[in-house]
Amino acid sequence: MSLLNLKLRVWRQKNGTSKGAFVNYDAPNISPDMSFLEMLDVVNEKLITQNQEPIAFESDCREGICGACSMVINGIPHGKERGTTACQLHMRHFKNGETIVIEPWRARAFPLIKDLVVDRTAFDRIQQAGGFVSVNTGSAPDAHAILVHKDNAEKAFDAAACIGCGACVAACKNASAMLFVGSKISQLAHLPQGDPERKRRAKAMVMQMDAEGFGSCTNTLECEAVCPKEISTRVIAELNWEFMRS
Amino acid sequence: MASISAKILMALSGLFLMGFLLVHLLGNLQIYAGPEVFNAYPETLRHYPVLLWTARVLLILAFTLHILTSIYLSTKNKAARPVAYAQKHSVQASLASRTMLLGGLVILGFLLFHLAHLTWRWVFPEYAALDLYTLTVLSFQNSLVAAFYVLAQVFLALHLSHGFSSAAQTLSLTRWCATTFRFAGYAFALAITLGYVSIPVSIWLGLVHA
Repeated sequence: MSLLNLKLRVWRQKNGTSKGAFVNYDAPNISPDMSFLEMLDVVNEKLITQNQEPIAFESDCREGICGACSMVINGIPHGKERGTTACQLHMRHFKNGETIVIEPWRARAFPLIKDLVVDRTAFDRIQQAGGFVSVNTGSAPDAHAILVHKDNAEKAFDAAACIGCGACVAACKNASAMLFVGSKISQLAHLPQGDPERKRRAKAMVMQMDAEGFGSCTNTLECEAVCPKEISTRVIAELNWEFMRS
Repeated sequence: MASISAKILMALSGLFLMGFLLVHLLGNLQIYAGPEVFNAYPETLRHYPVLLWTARVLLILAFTLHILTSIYLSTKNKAARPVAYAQKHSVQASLASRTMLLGGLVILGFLLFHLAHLTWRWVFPEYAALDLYTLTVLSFQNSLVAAFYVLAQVFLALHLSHGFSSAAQTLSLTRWCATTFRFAGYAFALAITLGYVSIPVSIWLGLVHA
């Protein structure tokens, strides 16, 4: 496959208080084997040699498991490939000559820090409100001491796949965080270890979610379509159930 | 109030209103049985004033609750994204799910017209003294009125097709099988809409006449 010549339209904003705008860049000779972030690295290297400010974006693992690379690519969080983070999105999915529009997550609860970087600590505060289990200190218990039914283990594991990237919030027309909160609730609700805090967990996490300024779910199912871990909206039904029980 | 509490109230009031739509439709379909049966239906209801007024009060409460929770949640949802995307594509969100507020407003407008038309009898003052069957038939012989009723039912179908499964999800009934509720919602919306649309269409086509 031949090299790609692309045009980028990137949201640039110095900080949370300044006014942002789209800036156009050329991205010539891009290998189709590059990841999306590698393509941005190439563009940034050129900007640095031209004494220009590189495009700020988050990345860490670059293997689809940390959830840092938050950006909306051509109107879809993490781009149009399903079940993929931006760092695992490869340039072979783009056409030569294509213009790619790149924007940050847009949500009141995710204030913009710079360019494509947003502050997602609202998720941390929701977790701190109830997304934990109390454990006794001391030696580790035997692995088979507490039995977990396979169905419950599977459901808990599916929900635990959430990497907290925030794509669900970015995609939702209401900037709702219910897929994220549902994942954290569901993960613990299916395990005996989650039982002691069960009654107060859902209420505390939902109250924190509301206090952070996230919207509410209108069940458009857009969140599960963009979730890089393909978490089902079943976890939202489970969140609602846990909230009603609390 | 927690957002999920407001959503639960919206779901419960919505399901109550869906129940009303079904009962109201069954009453309306008696128009095919002729003027005697159709005119006897409201007369029978008037013989049970306690039942009638209980139903009316419950309906008004359900409508009020549904509208108030929608205003509360919509305002919060709008505030949750102060800066809009320059480019945004939906991957799988249905048209119905993205137009619930618009659909609700159209249905509210239609409801007020419907009450003014057949309950308060303000729309055709010249027919105001006629019996309900004749008033209904003469009204729907007017193409504009018939078309407006059909159009409103299309919005109602969209609203119900998403509202049914959305209410089930909010009430956590979809924990086991979301697909069943989704298709049940489509079936309910289709059945209700076809039933309601059949009345103005049958009259306009001359299949039901005064």
